[in-house]
Amino acid sequence: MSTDKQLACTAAAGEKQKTWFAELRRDVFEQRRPYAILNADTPHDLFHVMGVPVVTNQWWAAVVAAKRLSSDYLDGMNERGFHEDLCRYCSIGLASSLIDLGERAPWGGLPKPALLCARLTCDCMQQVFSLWAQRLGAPFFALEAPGSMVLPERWWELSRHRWAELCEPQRLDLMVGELRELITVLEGISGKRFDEDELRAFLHRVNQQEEYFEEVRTMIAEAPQCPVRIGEQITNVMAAQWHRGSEWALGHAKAFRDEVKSRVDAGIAACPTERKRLMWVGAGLWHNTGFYSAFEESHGAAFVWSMYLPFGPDWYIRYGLDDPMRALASRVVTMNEVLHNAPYAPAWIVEEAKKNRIDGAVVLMPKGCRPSASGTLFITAALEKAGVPTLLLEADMVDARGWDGDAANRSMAQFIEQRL
Amino acid sequence: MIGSSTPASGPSFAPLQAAYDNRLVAARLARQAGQPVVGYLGNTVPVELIIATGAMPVRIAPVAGDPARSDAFVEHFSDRDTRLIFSQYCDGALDFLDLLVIPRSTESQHKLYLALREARRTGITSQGPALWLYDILHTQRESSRAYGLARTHELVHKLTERCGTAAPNDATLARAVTLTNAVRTGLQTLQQRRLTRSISGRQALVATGAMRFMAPQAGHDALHAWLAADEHLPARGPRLLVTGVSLDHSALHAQVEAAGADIVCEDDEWGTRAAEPLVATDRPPLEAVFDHCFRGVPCVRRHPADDVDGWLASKLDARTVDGVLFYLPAPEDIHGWQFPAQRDRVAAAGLPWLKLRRDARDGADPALADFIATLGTPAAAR
Repeated sequence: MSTDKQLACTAAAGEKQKTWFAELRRDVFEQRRPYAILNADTPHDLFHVMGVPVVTNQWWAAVVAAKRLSSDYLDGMNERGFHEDLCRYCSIGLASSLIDLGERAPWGGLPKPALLCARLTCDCMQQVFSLWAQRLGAPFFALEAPGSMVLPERWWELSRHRWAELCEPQRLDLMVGELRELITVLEGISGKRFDEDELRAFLHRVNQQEEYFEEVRTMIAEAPQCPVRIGEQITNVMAAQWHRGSEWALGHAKAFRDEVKSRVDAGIAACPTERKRLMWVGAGLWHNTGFYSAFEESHGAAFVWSMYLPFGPDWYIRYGLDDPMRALASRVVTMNEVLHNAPYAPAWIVEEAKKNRIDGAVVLMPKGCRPSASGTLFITAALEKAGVPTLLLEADMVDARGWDGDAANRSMAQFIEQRL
Repeated sequence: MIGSSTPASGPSFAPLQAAYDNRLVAARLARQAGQPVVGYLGNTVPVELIIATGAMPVRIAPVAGDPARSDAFVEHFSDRDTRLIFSQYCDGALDFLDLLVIPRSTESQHKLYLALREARRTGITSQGPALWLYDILHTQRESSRAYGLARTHELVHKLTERCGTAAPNDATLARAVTLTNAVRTGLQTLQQRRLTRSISGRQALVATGAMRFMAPQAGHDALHAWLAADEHLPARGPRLLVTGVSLDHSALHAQVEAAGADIVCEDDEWGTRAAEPLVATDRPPLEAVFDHCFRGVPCVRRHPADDVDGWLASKLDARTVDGVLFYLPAPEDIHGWQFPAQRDRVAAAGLPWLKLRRDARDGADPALADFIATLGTPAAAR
């Protein structure tokens, strides 16, 4: 298996994250600058506009898992009485604050934030964040997650220009109100006055950034062979997403686009022996990202698609920024839902499978993250109905304790050999 | 019905036990008699609205059966009631309902709503009653309250549309509130008698749960008739409090009683907390019934959740209970977050405790009898 980084951009993205976090710790500890811990589906944009740096909970969980520390933290949680069926993906951060691993803590551990913020999607969210806020001595701002009764199957055809139709008006009203409450809190933290024009300009830059990703996703879909592995797609896309709207992010997205284009123009494939194109459905397998390329040499099977790249243009782009608060609210109010819930997710993933000439799909069903797990069977059924053979892989994205690599490899080999 | 049958205790208890065991019978009879029937999930749908619309409310809460129909579409580690309701719906067991109202009060409920919609959309089932998501939110913000109140008006509109009846007005709603409050008052009396050991925990749980499945007036009458008849099974043995996953079945109570103890209160809406609070009568009734669901009743999505801790803490007194059971059967993934803090609180109160991870419907946890044996006989029971 090859885990070598093939793109210069990938190294730059990794380096950016590392140096940024070191600077954050220095700013927080030495200059007492406030920062916030946020879930991935919250309006980071407001924090950026208000000059409050953010650490994303799921990014931090991925860092912990990649450094092979999730078992230490999760075992520690179990020893403290939190039972083994509780959510793991969203609680690794809490665990890293409750359990002191000393010098082994990734990058020195999380400093005390000025605020924590999460949408109340699954029921454990307020439990996890309330405990975390209590532990860190910081306030927790909860955003509501109202349900939808209007569920357009082909949501990606509405999300850019007709987002007001996609999200019911009462849900938008509610979310705009909550965002305004959040702004008041951020003004108190940052000492800065919110400027709606600044948000509009920010969202415009986010659109530009996602347009670069749109070009990349199209190139990957149309190139004879995939020019960039999904591991590197994710690293480059998500580093820019976590810093979205910044000049660095915009520049990085453009550089990523240029590098992928040059590879496509030169006919360079990430896996020259690519014969079968696979899609990875669900969150990343953060404790074992090498799994994505493990079947290239043996089977010519390459993962070419994950949600992280195409979701950017399909969900983040909001054209029509006359009312930037409402545009932002429309992105936040259904953010996680379109990735997991039926009919949104099955329809989108089948569409993406067609566009990307997918031969087979692997769907991650994580018991330790119910919102991610629920809906996986509808996704599987839709893919199979569309003629895409699908393998359900029951595993956790951050908890390596239950991961049986040999069994997973055998399932994959059997799937590729017998169904593709 | 698993673990539900209580020892014979006189004819006045029989209708309560029957309704608890056969949860859809009364609703089916009402439908056959021409009355609209509205099913609902959870404890945050204002049943007073359904009553005032002229329909019979019935809680959909299967506790046994074969969830196999759900296996292809609902993940195997989902809550058992979610899998059972999905199966019931797709198998046609709920076809007699005029409407099924699902609140957004747990994520499981929300996912079930989406799964049922998808089942209809993709042709997994062509059956099943119309679905309605009652999008009540539970952060205790004024904006969430306003949002929920607006959704409540929409629910009223939907109820009248589906049931073909006149919209409720303040007078009909007030009458419905009077009736449900009278039931709650009866349940408060029941809870008092549990604490004085004159009614066993299992009987109390069955009688309380039966109110969800009987026609409201019939339930009220049956409850008060039983309370007046003095045909109760007295409690015996050490007094236990149970907290954690709501007990919509009486299997755990049966196991506790078989081991020589008694559950005197449940920190959930199927048991002790069903009795409180009353719906307010000092404001417009529609607002009052909404507020009851928004901030009055136990709900895992309520935020902040201080009142829940307050309730439990108020019961941790050796004069009330002799021990605490934390009922956290797999695949529960919510209440366990509070367990370490609650465990420490119980220990600080000097009370013994036991954590149960096994679903009581699958048999008694081997540690249960041993735990009860260590408790001795409380002074109040001697």
